[in-house]
Amino acid sequence: MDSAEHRHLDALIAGDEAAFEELVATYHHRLFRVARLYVRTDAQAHDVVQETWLAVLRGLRGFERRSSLKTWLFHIAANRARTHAVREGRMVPVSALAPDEGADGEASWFDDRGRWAEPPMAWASSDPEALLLNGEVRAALTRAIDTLPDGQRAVVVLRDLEGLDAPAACNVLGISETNQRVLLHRGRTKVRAALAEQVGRRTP
Amino acid sequence: MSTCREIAARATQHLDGELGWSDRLRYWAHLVACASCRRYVRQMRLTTEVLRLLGEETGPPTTLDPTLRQAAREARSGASAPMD
Repeated sequence: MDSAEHRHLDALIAGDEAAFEELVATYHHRLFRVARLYVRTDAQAHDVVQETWLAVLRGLRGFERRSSLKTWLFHIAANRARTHAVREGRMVPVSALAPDEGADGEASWFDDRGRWAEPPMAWASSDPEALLLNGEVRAALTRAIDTLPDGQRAVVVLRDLEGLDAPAACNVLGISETNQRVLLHRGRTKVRAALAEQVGRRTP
Repeated sequence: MSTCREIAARATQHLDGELGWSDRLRYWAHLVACASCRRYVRQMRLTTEVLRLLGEETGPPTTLDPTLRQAAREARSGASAPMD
């Protein structure tokens, strides 16, 4: 936790409403994204986020600052969302590593000696911003994320979209490091493949 | 020497700096010799950069709804009171 975050927290604890508004503006849609990993509908996710903010207001003074503020917020949101998901009888998605989940599409890329049978094609651009500006690429990207198996999506969202490190992501999701690593790799592999389909060029 | 399949399978560990030093050396040795794997690893890195950029986009503007505003006020009025 850096000093700016400490100051922000001190302001929050002192009851600074502007600090709270800033927190909500920064994290509302992120908490929504975390909640949506567990609950089925946007409406439920909104409920989860609302509950999260109330829990945050109640818990601020007890927050021990051992993790970052972001990780703490995500942790609360994920717990609330899990409770909702369990209540409606939905399996918690990332509690176990389903071995069939990622039946690696990678396998067909290699020959029986483990060398590239279908080497990756060059991409039209290597600039992340340019890629995102392309509407079709963006659509394919969000579709790829949305269609990942739950566990993979959860890890990709926390690690890559939100930038949490591995221990923080494990903490929020309640999964092991090994589980996290496998899910992340499978998820990233699929997202890369979706991008490759859009921007891969046949000419080497 | 690692196979291309192994290089692809460990791309995430490589990018996240999770390989031990001997694995890291083997990894680099393969990348030096193999243009396809270099390209693959670059694309995996680019994928993470695109995802990060997407994640950084700000959401729609939010305003505190009345319940939250009220709760924040109550938390403030409680702030000067002794804890519990």
